[in-house]
Amino acid sequence: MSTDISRATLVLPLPSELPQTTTTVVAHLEKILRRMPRDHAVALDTGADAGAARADLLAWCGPHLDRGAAAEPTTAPNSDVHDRYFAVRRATGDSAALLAGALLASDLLVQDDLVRHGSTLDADPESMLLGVTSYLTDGKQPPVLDVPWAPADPVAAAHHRWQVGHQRFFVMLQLLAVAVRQVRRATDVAGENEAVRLFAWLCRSSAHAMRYAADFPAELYDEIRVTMVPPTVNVGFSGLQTRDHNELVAQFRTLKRSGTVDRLAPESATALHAAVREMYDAHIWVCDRFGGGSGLSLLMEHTSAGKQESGVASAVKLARQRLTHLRQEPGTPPTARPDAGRFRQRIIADVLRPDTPERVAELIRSANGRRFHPVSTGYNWGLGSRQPVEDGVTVLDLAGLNRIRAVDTRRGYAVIEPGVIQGALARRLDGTDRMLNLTGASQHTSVIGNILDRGVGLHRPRVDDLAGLELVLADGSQVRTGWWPDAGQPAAVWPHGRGPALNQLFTQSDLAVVTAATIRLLPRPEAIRILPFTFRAEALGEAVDLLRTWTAQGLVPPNTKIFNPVAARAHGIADQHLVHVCLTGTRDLVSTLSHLVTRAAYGTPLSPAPASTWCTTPTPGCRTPPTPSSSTRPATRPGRWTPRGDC
Amino acid sequence: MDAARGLLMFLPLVPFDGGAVTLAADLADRARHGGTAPAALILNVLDADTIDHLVSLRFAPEDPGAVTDAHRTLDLLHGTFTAHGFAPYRTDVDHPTPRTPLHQRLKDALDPGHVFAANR
Repeated sequence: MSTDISRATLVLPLPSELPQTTTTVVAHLEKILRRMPRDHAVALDTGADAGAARADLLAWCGPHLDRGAAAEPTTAPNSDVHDRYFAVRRATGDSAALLAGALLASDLLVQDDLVRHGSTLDADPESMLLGVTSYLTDGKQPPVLDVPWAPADPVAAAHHRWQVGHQRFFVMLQLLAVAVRQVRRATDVAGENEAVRLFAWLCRSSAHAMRYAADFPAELYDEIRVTMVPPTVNVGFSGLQTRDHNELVAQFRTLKRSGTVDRLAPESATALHAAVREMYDAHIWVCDRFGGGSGLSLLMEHTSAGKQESGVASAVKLARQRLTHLRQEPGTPPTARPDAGRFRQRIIADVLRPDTPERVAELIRSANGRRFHPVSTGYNWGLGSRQPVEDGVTVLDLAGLNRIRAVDTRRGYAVIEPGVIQGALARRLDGTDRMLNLTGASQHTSVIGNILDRGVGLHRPRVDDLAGLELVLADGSQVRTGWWPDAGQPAAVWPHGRGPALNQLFTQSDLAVVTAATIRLLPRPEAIRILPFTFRAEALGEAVDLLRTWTAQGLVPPNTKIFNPVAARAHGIADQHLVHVCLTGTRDLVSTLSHLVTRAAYGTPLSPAPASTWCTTPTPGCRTPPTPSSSTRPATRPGRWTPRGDC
Repeated sequence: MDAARGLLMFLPLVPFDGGAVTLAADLADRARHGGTAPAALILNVLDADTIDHLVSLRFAPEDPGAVTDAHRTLDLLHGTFTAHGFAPYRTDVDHPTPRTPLHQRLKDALDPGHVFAANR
């Protein structure tokens, strides 16, 4: 943070790198608070020493807060313009530390601004604006400030408030994006309630932050508005360019799609919805305050005349759209909703959501005539999703069993529960020399669910990943099959062990409930490369025979994908089949194999496809488009999730 | 996904052989019923002998006629592929896997009270 507070730059992490829970942010907050040379609470106070404490801490923040490494410019340049206008710098590094530092710096800047310039708004008796740090760390709540708006230079003060207020709001948006992840990750009802409570509180604080950004006389807004036009910024400059808001909306969507919103207790869902509405109401209030009741926003000024609407009308519409992601479908248990296949809706007796294997065992032991249909995350799209085959059964929703119990990258295994999704495990393996045999489906699909249904990964059938199962049998007993790690024993991973191998008895099976599994992790190759080819429909037989020969002779690994012309459209290919040959290994090996395969294709129906035919929509096969000039792409950022995964 | 999209999947195993794969493509096309759109096929090589087919039928979920046509197509896919020896290796809720006698004995031994619902 720069020490010139009239144009203080706030350093924020990239929203895509935000931590999964607020725990690490709070830990960093506490750590920084301990390191600060003056008491942060004193600096937010109104006592005689407060001004000097704020000045000291603001001067300290610049050289002492984690600033990370400057992030690369984005592919959405308007986000960079937006950041630049509001003096925000994006950094990579320890995102929790960056966010904690940004919050503390923002605390000081906001308080300094309020003390120096005052406020046009009512007092904030609950300290909703500046109480975030104390709320998160159980610290001392800042005192209520009641200083009327009376700056020496109102225009300069309004500009300053517009900037510092927006910076504050961006910090809050990032905290909300973390908090909403926490709601999704909660493993039991108590955890959900706690996560929703935190999220709702932060929403209210965000609403105050938004009002604070506009806390100056409305007639001064014209002075602000004229600075938000070219060449200073882009045409149609808008808050929709805020990447932090976009991330939050993406998290809302995920919350809905993951079934979390519908899974919440009704009172929690109501609280969640109401809190977000309060935030969007604040946006509408700001629009209205600055003439948006009849005037157009900057964005709308550049919208075609027939589609123009007032700033307030736009804000109302935006709020309505965003809130749809958080609306709970009343009275409809998950299984009673339509599945993608539109199969006949089965009648469900009940839905139970145990969150531990022991609880599963208790439920099975006390079945009392119930018949159970276990589901993991229920994303068995096209095959019935989470529906059972029969009517009248009780759904055992295991999404709450979502712990990654252990990861051993040296021996190559992970112990996971049924609610663990492949995106989470892939992220856990980020930066290691192991990777998950991902599928081309959504990152929200369950690893165990797909293994048990014998899905196919991008590198091999998923059942080949299975090393051991933890089960609850029909009598409620808990048993294990296959290979499991022994504490302190460096045993090699080998699913078959001795005696009858039982793992496969419980795949596509109705003989037990799986509460955990040991799965094998693939060694991460030094390089991964996809060679795309196309061929015409009439050459299907010849092309398949050729690929079969390549596979049988070891020229290509047994993981080639062939897309018929309908499926190939998603990759920008018209009227032809598309082939993805996936090569992995050392860079030299992949480079050599690429030349050999390309040479082997010469004179056959297989034609090399342009790089642009790489994945344009999520399908199995690849991660980032290759550049024709590059040889092999080192797997330098392994495991970073994309919907289509590695290779 | 579940609310917005109409999607049925059929997943047979086919010999990794040009003639067999060409026949499978032909069977998938001939199974189309009513207004069902041509299926998207993704073929995953499993080894040098076997290639898994992922046959995706997309339809308008809000159109009852399209739903009926797609399900009829799915039934035809099951019938014709199985008749040619290309049996599915994963099944949907309307086409459950029948129990073999040995499976039934295992079920009776491990879950005599049928605490676990059949299939899946």
